[in-house]
This record gives sequence, structure tokens and C-alpha cells, in this order.
Amino acid sequence: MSDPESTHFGYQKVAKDDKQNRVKAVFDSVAGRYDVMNDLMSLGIHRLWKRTAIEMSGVRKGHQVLDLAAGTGDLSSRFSTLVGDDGFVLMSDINAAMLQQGRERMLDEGHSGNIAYAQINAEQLPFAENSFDCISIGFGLRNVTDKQCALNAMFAALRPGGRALILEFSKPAPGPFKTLYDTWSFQVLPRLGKLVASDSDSYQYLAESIRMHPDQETLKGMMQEAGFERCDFRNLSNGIVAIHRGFKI
Amino acid sequence: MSAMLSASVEAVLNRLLSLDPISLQRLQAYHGKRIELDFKGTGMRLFLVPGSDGIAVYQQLEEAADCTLSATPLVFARMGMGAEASDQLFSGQLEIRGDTALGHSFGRLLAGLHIDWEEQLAAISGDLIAHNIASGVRSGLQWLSDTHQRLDKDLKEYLQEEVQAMPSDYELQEWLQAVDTLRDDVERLQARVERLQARRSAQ
Ligand SMILES: C[S@@+](CC[C@H](N)C(=O)[O-])C[C@H]1O[C@@H](n2cnc3c(N)ncnc32)[C@H](O)[C@@H]1O
Repeated sequence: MSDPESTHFGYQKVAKDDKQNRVKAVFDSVAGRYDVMNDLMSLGIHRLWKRTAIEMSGVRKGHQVLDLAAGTGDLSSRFSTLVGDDGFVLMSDINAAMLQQGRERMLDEGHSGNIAYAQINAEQLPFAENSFDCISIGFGLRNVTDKQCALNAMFAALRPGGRALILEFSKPAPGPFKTLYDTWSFQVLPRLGKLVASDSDSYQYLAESIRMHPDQETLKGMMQEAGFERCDFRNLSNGIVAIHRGFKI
Repeated sequence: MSAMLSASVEAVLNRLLSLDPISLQRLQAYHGKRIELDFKGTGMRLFLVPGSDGIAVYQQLEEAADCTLSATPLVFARMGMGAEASDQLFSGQLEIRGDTALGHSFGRLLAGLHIDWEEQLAAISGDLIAHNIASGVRSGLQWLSDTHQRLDKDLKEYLQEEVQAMPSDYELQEWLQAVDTLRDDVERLQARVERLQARRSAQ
């Protein structure tokens, strides 16, 4: 990016302030049907990706967990089970509509007592240093305007020994499969979006934002830049998705 | 795919728990504990973590479990089918390591669920496709087949071969077959135990 005042909104370049508003509009418009669309978009496989992320989180009874960009709370819900009565999960999202959906779902599932909700921008974490054992961001980092800034903030808020977990679309290995995947996300998804959520622009944005997201090695480098150590990543489904992990030593 | 297995077991357990509010309630006492099931002779293990809405099941967790129940798959299957059998099984065939009090009470809770494996497996195999995994897949694929014949086929192949997220018909049949065999074995075993018991009480 040559112009410091502009950033990517999907493939369109937009002014930085504008991106946040546009991202908000996207999620406002999909909040109600978000879970259905998730299943459609990933053919249901996102549940398995999230499960693997949880297994890599190292979260256990008594831990303090911050879930950023939590959306409707697929990760938060599982964390809430793992940390037990003496642990704590802070479920957060920049978008109040998504957070509200998530909150209702948590109450439905009986999660209470060890979970709280907060409207938080991942770039500006309002926490003291060394506050959490694990900070996760699932399919959220690509929506964040200044990703490096978010990674730095995550590093600061983690306790020594804690880890960050980033579940995000990534760069699939080249081959026929990649072509298929491209067709799926650019041709099919926006139409599905239109059909189900009567909103093809939002899903066009999602597909584009996935392509603009840093690839596996780049993201790993950005984590190291933020101060994380022992960084690694694991590709899932041929690299469509990757889970990055880094520790604060 | 391993995540598929834990997802299936999780679906079965939680379906049963949702029909059994008392067990679900009792489970709350173990919120966040890790109970490991070690399936002897198979190298397979599952981690169960009780929570407010049921039990989460994972294939691997980094930290050690609070307790480990170790037995052959048949013994576990048997245990899930009824509390009466559990006492016999607890003596000898089921090994408990770590927090043994937790292991015992959790084992009893599992036994109390009276799992009908055949029904459950039939339900998830149908359900996983129809509901859990594919609430959207079907309509998605249907829609695709109208417009993108070729893509439809590729996607199905991709799902089955690459991701193995959906069992093929053949695999499903194999699986149900194996379950049938297991059930017959168990029934024979049960009949034998009953005969022995009858003989014993006749003495
Ligand atoms: C694709 S959803 C992911 C939800 C959930 N983690 C999941 O995996 O299902 C992305 C979420 O990121 C949120 N988001 C976008 N920009 C954000 C920011 N700067 N800080 C925090 N959350 C943000 C959106 O509101 C949306 O709920």
C-alpha cells in the first residue's frame, strides 16, 4: 500500500476511516443470518476448523480468555466450557448487533457466570498488560484495518506464558483445487449471499477480503514483529484456512 | 478426519443429555474437568469436558486429563448401555487413573445414559449430513447442480476424498455393518452373562 491514508476494502481502495464503517455495514447486514451463511460458505466445515483451533489453544480450567471479533460466539462458547467455573471468558466484537446475537445464544446454551460481553475494537484493547492466558481471533483479523496494530495489542494484553490464536482464511496451495475454490468464493458465494441474505455485496466483500489477507508466512512474520515467540501455523483444508499460534514468553 | 469423530461423539452424547435433564444437571459439578477415554488396543482416545450445555468432546488437548478411563471399545459400549452392567465392569475391565473419584462418578453417569448405539449411529449418520454439517450443504449442492453441473461433482469429490467430511455411501454401509456386528456380539455376551447369573443364583 503506497498511500498511508488508504486501505483495502476487499479489492477497492478506500480511506482508512471509511473501512471501519464499511466493515460495520457488512456485518450489520448479515448479523441475523450469519450462522446459516457460515455453514453455506464453508459447507459446514468451519465447525471442524474451530474445533481444531480449540484443541490448539491450550485453554484449561481456571484460564482467562479473550475472544476478539467473536461474532456469534462459536469459539467463546467452547472456551466457556473449558475454563470451568473458576475461569473467565470475555466475548468481544466491534459490532453491537453481532455481539447481541452472540449474547442471546450464550444464554440459550446456559453459559453464564464465567462469561462477559464487551464491544471492543481489536486494534485498541482497553486492558492492562499481562491480563489473559489466551487471546483468540477467529475469522476476524482480515476485517481489522491495521492488523499489525491489533497483533501488538494482543501481545501486550497477554500474560507471559500465554498465547495468541489466529484462525483465518489463508492462501491455499496452488492446483486445480485452488481454481475450484476461487470459483466457489467469487462466483457462487455472492449469489448464495443474495439468495439467503439478499445481500450479494457483503459476500463479495468477504471473498475479496480473504484474498487480500496476508498469506501464512507473512502473517507469521507479523506475529514475530509484534514480539511473539515460537510462532507456528497449521494449514487446514489445503490451506484455505490456517491457524497461527504465538507465545509471549 | 479426526475432528469428524469427536464431533459425532459429541453430537450423540449431547442429544442424550438433552433428553435427560437430571444427568445434565449432575454434570455441572464437573464443569471444566477433563476426562480422558482411552480405547484400549486401538490407540484412540477422546477427551470429554463437561459444561453448562452438555459435554464437549475433543480428539486431543494439550494438558493432561484429570482422570483417564481405560478400557476396550466393547467395554465402553457396554458401559454406555446400562448401569447394571457397570459394577461388574468397574471391577477389572475398566481401569481408572488420576482422580479416581471423578472417574467413578463420571463412569456411572455415562452408564446411566443408556445409550442405544444403533439408534444413535443411525441418527448421526443421517443427521450429520442433514443437519450438523450440512444444514446448508444440501440446498447449496442442489442449487449448484442446476447451474454448475461440473462444479457440483468436483465439490462432492472434494468433500469426500480430500476432506472426508462426509462419509461415502460405501463407508457408511461399512460403518453400520460394523455396528451391527458389535451389537450382536454384545447381545451374545449379555445373554451369556444372564445365563451365568441365573445359574449362580440357582445354586
Ligand atoms: C466473520 S466474523 C467471525 C465471528 C466468529 N469469530 C466466528 O469465527 O464465527 C468477523 C467478526 O469480526 C468483527 N470485526 C470486524 N472488525 C473488527 C475489529 N476491528 N475489532 C473487533 N471485531 C471486528 C465483525 O463485527 C464480525 O463479527
